[in-house]
Amino acid sequence: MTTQDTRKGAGNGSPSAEETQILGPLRPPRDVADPPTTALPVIPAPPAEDPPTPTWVERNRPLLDRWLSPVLAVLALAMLPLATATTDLDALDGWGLAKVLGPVAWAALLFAIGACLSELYARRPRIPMLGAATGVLILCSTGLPSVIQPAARFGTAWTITGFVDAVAVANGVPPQGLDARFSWPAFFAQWAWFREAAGADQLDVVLRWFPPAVVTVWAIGIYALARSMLGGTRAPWAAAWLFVGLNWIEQDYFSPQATGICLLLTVLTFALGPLATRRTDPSGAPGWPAPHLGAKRLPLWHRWLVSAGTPPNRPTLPPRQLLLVYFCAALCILAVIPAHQLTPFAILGQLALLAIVGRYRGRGLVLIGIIGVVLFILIAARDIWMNQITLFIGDGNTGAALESGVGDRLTGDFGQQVVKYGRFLIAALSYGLGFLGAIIYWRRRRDLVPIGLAVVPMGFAAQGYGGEGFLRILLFGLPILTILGADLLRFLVRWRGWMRPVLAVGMVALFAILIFLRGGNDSYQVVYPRDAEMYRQVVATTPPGQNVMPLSDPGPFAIEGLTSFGRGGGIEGCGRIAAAGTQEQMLSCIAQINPDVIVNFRDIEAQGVHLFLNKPGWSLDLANALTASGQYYMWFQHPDDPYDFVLRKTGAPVIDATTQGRPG
Amino acid sequence: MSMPTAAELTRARTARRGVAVMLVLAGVTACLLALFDVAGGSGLRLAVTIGFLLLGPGWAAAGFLRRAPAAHMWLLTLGVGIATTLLAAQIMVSATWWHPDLMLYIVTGLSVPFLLRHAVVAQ
Repeated sequence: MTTQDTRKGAGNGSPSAEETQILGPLRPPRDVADPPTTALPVIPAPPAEDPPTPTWVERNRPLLDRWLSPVLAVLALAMLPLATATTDLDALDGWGLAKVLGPVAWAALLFAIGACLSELYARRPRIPMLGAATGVLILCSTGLPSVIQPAARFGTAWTITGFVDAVAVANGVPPQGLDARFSWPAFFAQWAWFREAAGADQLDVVLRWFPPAVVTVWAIGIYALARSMLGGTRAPWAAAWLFVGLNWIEQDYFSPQATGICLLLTVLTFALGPLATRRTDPSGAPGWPAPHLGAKRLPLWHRWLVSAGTPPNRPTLPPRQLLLVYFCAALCILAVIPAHQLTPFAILGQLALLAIVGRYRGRGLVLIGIIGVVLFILIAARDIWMNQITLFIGDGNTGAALESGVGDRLTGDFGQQVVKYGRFLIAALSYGLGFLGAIIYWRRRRDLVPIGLAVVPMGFAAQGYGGEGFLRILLFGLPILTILGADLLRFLVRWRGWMRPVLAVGMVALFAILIFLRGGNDSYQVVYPRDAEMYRQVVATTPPGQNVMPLSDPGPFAIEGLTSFGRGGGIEGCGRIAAAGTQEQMLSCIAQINPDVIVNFRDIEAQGVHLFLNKPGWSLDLANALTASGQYYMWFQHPDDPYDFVLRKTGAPVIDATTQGRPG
Repeated sequence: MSMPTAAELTRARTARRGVAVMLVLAGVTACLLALFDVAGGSGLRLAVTIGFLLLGPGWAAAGFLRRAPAAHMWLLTLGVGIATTLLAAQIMVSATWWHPDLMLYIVTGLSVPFLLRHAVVAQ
């Protein structure tokens, strides 16, 4: 390459440039044809290497991004009927559902997780596809019992449908003195209204599909909340999946608290989303500016006082939109007050914390909630206020509550104990993830409020609600804990890229553990339609006023006729016949209670074997002993399942089922 | 943060209109089924009635929300739907005025005008 020498005098007989340069004595003589130049020498390019051959995945990335997730989701759904056909529910034992699930069910779970992860890994994740994949994931994990079991599991869900029935048949008048839960009757009345308006006699189908439906609503709430707290396009989905995976708590059955969590998440999402704000000065700096340069900071209490007195900034929403959100949030808070005894306190506690630290605009919501709770307790539920105040303030015996919530649950055979210890481990994992996530959140945003939101429900530990209280603490704290946990996972992925496959494997393990833990009690929680049918037949043929008693609490007992029959009880040590001990003790309990009808399901037999360590066949032995004594006779025994039986007291009247209508 | 394109906004508005129309139809169907006591106890009537009561009042309120992501819309819809029906049921209990059919008509009558408005003017 040649360039023209533009230096002064170059090439016109004057002293050459080389001669006048200090650093050029050894240069070769000037080439006239190719004069020197000041341009940088051209460095020859290295020999061109062939571009790396794209892998199969890279070549087909657009196709995979588009089709892999839908195909996996459809495959997961297609596996579910096969999973139902290949699962042997009769083989359930203390290890629960996971042991009897066929490979097809596990494959469905794997496909569902694959659908979620492949869409998350796509270059541009599609929100509708992620939503659909999340729905499939819920159906294949939390909803798996609803799919493969023929009816709703969990005896408490059936008990609550009995409460709904009691409200419906009494034309909206909740029975008094039967159960403290009737003091918060809104949920029972709501479903009694739905049932009556739809002309239905029972809600068995609703009960069966309620858990996956309500967990889907919760997942929407977690996603919306995580969008506000974490931002990004992928982390909110990870938070929703983490929530589903860590939610072994099983408070998603047909119950007021499941509905209450929906309302809690709605309020919290809007408080931390559209209503979220901070206390800042007009320039955006938090807190009040210093009075002068170099001034000493005010004492902490003074700063807190100033902060509490400073209204948070206005959110950017237009005033009408703000009013709409306030109205809806107030509606949710007011609605949960007559529906559940604990959820309003969880919502108000979390909102109060956010109001104190100035994280949302609308402190009036706390005031509305407090006034609503006080009015409801004083007027509508004054009996509870007078008689069961310890339900709210505790009885000062936190040790007993701990024993009831933790110690009493660690019973049963080896499988049951593994399941129960596993639940505590996952609870500890949830809090561990949450606290580590709080550290990451603090480093990123200098904000400790979220972990405070998760800690607020721990106040329920002081109240004497029994073992359920500890489940509620976890449940009310889990949304925030999982969002913080998702922040931790995002940090890990950004810090070390190779964590992605590790986390994918972790997700598979988490959901496998979820199925194991949630289904751990299924040997005595699975319900068959024949059980419900048998109990309805008992209701139809038993004269009102008789005592109808189950041998324990699992199964669809009291789903109808709650106000028509007594249950006996009140005898020390005879709350559950199955747990009374030896057969002599059981017979002694029955003699003291003196029921007219004794009902047994396969669940009760299994609970006695796996939880109370009775010998297999104990319930049939008991029935044989009772019939041999002549006091009772076998009124019904299912031909396919000998453990489904009904004993009636000899001589007790029985109504002809063909002439008996519905009780009440 | 990318702004939604005009096509995306149009699709979102169309979807919102579609939901509102579906809920109007569900509400009217539920009322007609209750009025004529058609197919009492069948799964379809139960599904339509529960679906409308849980979503209809909520969408009537959430339809006024502007520039909100779909998750916020659906969460507000479900939250307000659940809250409205809980309060309506509690009012029936507290007032010892138990008229499930009539309350269904009232809730439908209050929701349908707003739903029709959202079917015409999607935010």
